[in-house]
Amino acid sequence: MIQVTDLLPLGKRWRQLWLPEALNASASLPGAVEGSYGLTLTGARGGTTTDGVYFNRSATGHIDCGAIHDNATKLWISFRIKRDRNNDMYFTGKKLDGNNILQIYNIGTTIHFQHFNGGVNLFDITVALGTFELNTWYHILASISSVNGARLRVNGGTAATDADTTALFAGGNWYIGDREVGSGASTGGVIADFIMGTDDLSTNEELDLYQGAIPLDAVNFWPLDEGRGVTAYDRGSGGNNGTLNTGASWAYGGVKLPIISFDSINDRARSAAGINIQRPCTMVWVGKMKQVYPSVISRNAALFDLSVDGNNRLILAHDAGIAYAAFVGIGGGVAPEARFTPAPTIDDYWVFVGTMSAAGVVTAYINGVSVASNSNASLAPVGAAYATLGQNYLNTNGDNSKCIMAGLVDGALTAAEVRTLSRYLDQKLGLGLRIQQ
Amino acid sequence: MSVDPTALQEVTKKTLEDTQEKINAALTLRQAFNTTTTTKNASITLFALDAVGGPIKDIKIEFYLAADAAATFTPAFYGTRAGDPVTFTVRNIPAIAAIATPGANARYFYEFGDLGEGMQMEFRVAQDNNGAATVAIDGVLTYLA
Repeated sequence: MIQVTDLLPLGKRWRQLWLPEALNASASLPGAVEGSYGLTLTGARGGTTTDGVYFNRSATGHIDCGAIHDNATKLWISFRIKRDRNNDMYFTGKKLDGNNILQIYNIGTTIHFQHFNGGVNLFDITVALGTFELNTWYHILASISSVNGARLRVNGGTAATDADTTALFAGGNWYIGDREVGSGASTGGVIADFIMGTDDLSTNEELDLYQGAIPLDAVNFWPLDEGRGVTAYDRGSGGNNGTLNTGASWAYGGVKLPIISFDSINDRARSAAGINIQRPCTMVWVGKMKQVYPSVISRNAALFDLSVDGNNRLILAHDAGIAYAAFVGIGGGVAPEARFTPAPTIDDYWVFVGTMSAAGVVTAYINGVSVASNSNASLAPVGAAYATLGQNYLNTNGDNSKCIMAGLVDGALTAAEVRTLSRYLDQKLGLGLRIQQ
Repeated sequence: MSVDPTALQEVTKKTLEDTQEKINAALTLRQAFNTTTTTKNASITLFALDAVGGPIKDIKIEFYLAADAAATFTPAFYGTRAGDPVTFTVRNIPAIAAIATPGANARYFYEFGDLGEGMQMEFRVAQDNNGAATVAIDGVLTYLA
């Protein structure tokens, strides 16, 4: 038997460690080493690494989200879908009767977005994909607007549009995986990250959605990461929890682990102040990435923030200003950043490590590999810090990536020690990263 | 006798990998530490565990309770079951005795056993409507995963 503390090399120990398997009723997470601070969850919930919800194309293969968005003058819908068969199918929609339907579906390799209202076919706009691969994720974004008309984009490509500005009809429930109960052509495959809003999306918000970031004013956000039970929690302002029918089930890939689920809107997990962030030390964050951190995303995203204040901080984050992810140390009036370019794809697993040496050298590692380094001998953060997961210390810059574990090591791990720890975590957690010794 | 350095490196690498595999296959002793308070006429969840990633074994809880001359505390294990993975019901086997008016330096120890893959458990402590409004409690959860 080995202890969690034995994972570190001789002379190193965890100052702080959090393991989401001990998450307490979606309210708090005790520390996993003696002297470690517990985290209090605000909005965040326990979840799993499930990929989303699998729909089996039966009459019960759907999530019922309730009677929402009646008479909406503006509405946008964003989700990712991975089909497992070549049938034509309804991905989502709302149907009052045969004369009033809003639906997103495919015929062959063409995606349709259609609105019937009062028996009139207001529009049926399409995006032809050429090929519509099975077992491959596609991002679909559709919207209606009393100002801008209707719009459909797939995988961030060219938008199909229609000038119609008619508001949505009243009546009928919203379904994910179908447009109604038992349409006969429901989804066969997995749907994830389903989001809706009731305003006009900006250009940046559309790009953000494609790249995994959730608009702060999202009305409905179903991450679909609960992984058990029949409730899909709505993390947006609407609070319309969905109910899985029997033909919908949780879809796990190779990894099945408990996580802390953040919505990137206003969720966080935070400790009391008191954490020592003096050098040398090492930040460790392991999780499932839900954003791709591109060069032109509209806002920052903090995975793990240890801050006394704005002048004394350690951060693992995406920085929109520098375009990439980074390990940043701030202290003593200087802020060297270990910036790097390798961005994740959505649903990648990352073992993200940042070391700060006794000499003020900061180094970032992804999956055991050093990706960037910087230094400043004056880097010396001091004070009693508090830890924040899912946001930064100012309760902004949320990140919806799913935290599998996080911790702070007393001492700066060497490159070899980071590789050994990353390899251990990869194998112990079954992440499938195949980190070599 | 000469030694082929490449072969030696291969043997060393293989030995290291074998050792690493054995370590990775071993169960890890993990812990959680919680310092909080019970609340009069209410139940708190002191610890919880989620075995969605695989079975969790040998779950033990030890806690300290501050002295209170009037309150009675009821500890209880709650767990989910395979057919209903989100509803917690009492799983006290054998029965857990209530703690009446704990004295100074009161310490208590309980064993839950194992938690099957997919299950969840909670350890709750309820305070009756007597005693102080809040009573200090701190505990350690240990388990193998």
